[in-house]
Amino acid sequence: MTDRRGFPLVTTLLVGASLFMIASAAVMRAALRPVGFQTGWALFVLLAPLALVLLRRARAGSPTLPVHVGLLCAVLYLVHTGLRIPRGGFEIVLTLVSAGVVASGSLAALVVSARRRWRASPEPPRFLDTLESGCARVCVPLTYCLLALALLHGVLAHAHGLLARVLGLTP
Amino acid sequence: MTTDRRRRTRSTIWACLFVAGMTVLALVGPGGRRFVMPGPLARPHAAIREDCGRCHVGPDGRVKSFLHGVAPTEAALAESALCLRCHDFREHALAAHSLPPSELDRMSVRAREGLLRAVDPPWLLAAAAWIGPPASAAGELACSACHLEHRGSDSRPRNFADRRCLTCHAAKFRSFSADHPEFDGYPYLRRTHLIFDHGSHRAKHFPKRDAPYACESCHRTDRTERYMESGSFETTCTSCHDHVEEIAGAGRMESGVAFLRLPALDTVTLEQRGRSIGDWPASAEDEYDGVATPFMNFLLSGDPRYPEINADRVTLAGLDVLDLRGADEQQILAVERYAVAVKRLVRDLARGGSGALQALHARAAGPDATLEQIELLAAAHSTAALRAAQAAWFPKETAAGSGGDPRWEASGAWYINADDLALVYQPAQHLDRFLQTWLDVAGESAPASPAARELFRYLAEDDGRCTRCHSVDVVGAGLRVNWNSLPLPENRPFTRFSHAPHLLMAGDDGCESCHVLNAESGYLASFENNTDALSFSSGHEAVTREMCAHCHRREASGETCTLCHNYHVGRFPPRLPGTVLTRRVGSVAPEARTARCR
Repeated sequence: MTDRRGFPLVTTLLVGASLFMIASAAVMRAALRPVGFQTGWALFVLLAPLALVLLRRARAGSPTLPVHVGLLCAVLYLVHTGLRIPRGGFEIVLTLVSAGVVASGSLAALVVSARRRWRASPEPPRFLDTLESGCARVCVPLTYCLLALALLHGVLAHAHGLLARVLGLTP
Repeated sequence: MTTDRRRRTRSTIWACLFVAGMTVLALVGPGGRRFVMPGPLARPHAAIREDCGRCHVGPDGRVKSFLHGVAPTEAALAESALCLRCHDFREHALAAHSLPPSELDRMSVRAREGLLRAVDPPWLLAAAAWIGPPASAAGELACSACHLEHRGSDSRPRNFADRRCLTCHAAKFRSFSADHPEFDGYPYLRRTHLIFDHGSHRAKHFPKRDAPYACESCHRTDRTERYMESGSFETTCTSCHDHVEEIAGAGRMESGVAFLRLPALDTVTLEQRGRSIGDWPASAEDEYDGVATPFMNFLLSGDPRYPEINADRVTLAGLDVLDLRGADEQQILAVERYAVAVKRLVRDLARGGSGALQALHARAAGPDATLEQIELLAAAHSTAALRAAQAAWFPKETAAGSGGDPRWEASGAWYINADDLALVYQPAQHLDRFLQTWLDVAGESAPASPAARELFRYLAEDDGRCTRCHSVDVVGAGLRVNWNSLPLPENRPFTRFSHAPHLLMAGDDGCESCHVLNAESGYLASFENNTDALSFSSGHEAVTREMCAHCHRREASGETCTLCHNYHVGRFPPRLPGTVLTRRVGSVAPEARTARCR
């Protein structure tokens, strides 16, 4: 019941936040201002706690929060890329890992949802357990890989001066 | 810790280590830079390859430069300086439209006053305008504000979305076909260079000769296929008009233009009053009241003693120089000095030829005289004719054998009018170099020289036949005869239009699909006593936005801003690479050169 009462509020917040991100990015882009820096680091800030939560409680408790945060991350990711098709090698790797996280996370969410429906059943199908466990074993490492790659991407894109200095590449 | 969680943690660590390892390998490997590039460069930039430093700046020691994403405008402007190493847009490269801010400010008066503000701008553009473009304090915009790179080899950094223009522009609209501001008298910014009334030719002259009125019989595309140019005088006008008989064969041009003419003087009285001017043609006495030509007055203004000469001219005004018996001493002195000045002019021109003409003109025209003008002027004159004139008028003072080549009259352009005591130039054909050059010289020198103004009036206004068809503009303070039919493309620096692709799309009305004749416009009347090229009545109706929008819409021929508008205003030829030849020619072996080319 708690979930059902909270559903419209969370959904409204989620949709509202998504619309706000999309609209503000569109306005900033129309004003010729790059939004990659802001949206990228916002994405990182959202993704890092999500990864921590996933690592600690993959099969415990309600998946509502990770699912909603994950959805928000997906929207923010699309805003960040501007629906641009990746062309660079590093960007392609990043996109593939992101797609893997979204796919495994979505599947895990669907499995958790299905398990709830079978909760009243005396003999819930065993394959759901296996599937959920498998999804978690893929999703969590991929999320951490994504975090690591995203951090590197951020440094390369917006702080490569610092990187160059650290690596001793600057004159 | 449960088994499941341990497994997850372990697999997470392994996955992270795997990805980190692969990434490090990719970065430090031979294709590392290519791997981190956000995409291939556009084909025109492909030669840069992975040399990131050609376009991206490194840190300069300041904190902001290490984290340039924090200050994107500053970083982008620094990188724009690297773009300008190759794309040289001159002094105001990063200013809006690459124009001096003061000039853009002047052009934006209507926008500032709100005249161009759209009533209902799209919300996105309205919000973007509120934020404003990422310009520096000096109003400079980075190249990357509009041009995007790393979008693939087939991408074109020159192409960008229309909203990038509309962020700054006060007139906001959704699309060209829907609500672009209406054209204002397009494409007629000024009156035509040649005075040609299409209306009367179509309604009267062509039917009179039973000739078809066809645009293509006079107009064709130029070499760039962008502009329509008129055919030459010889290939178009002469099919109906004979230049010598009909156009030039009236007024002064029929009898030629007197270049030099001796004023008639009462030399007897001068001698009686003890003022001898030496050799002076007897036939000039008591036979006609010849006055010096405007050419002479202009050239005399190049004489170092011109202030005195001019004062003498003023003194002589109204004086009957054919009968000086009643003249006072001052007037007699003025006549003597003026006659001597004229003789000196004739002598200098005859002796010095084109060189003397150049020197006189350079002094008369002052700093406005260009080398090209001086050379053209010299080329349009006959030294032989000048020497012959001197020999004919002042035989005693002409050295034997310096009377010039007796064959000089064979060209038929110059002759001495014995009755008039004048050296006359006879224009024989269209595009006469003598008249054209003198009109240019006099027009350009007109602001500073009253003599030049008098000469221009003499050639252009008083029965001048060139200016019957070639309009005269006031340019600065000077006057310019428009010899060519085509206005310079720089007149419309913000827009571009190419006729060639549109000619194929013309409907049954041909050129009139866009250029509708307006016979009632008062085209000819707008030229009368008017040297302001911007005050005019066009012989054709203006082209409207609807005409263009008939084809130029999103789903048809396109309607992007840059299809018709230039952003960088001006002509910017590519910068030539600095070449320093330090090696002796032939010092590199051919094999080495071949190897380098590979």
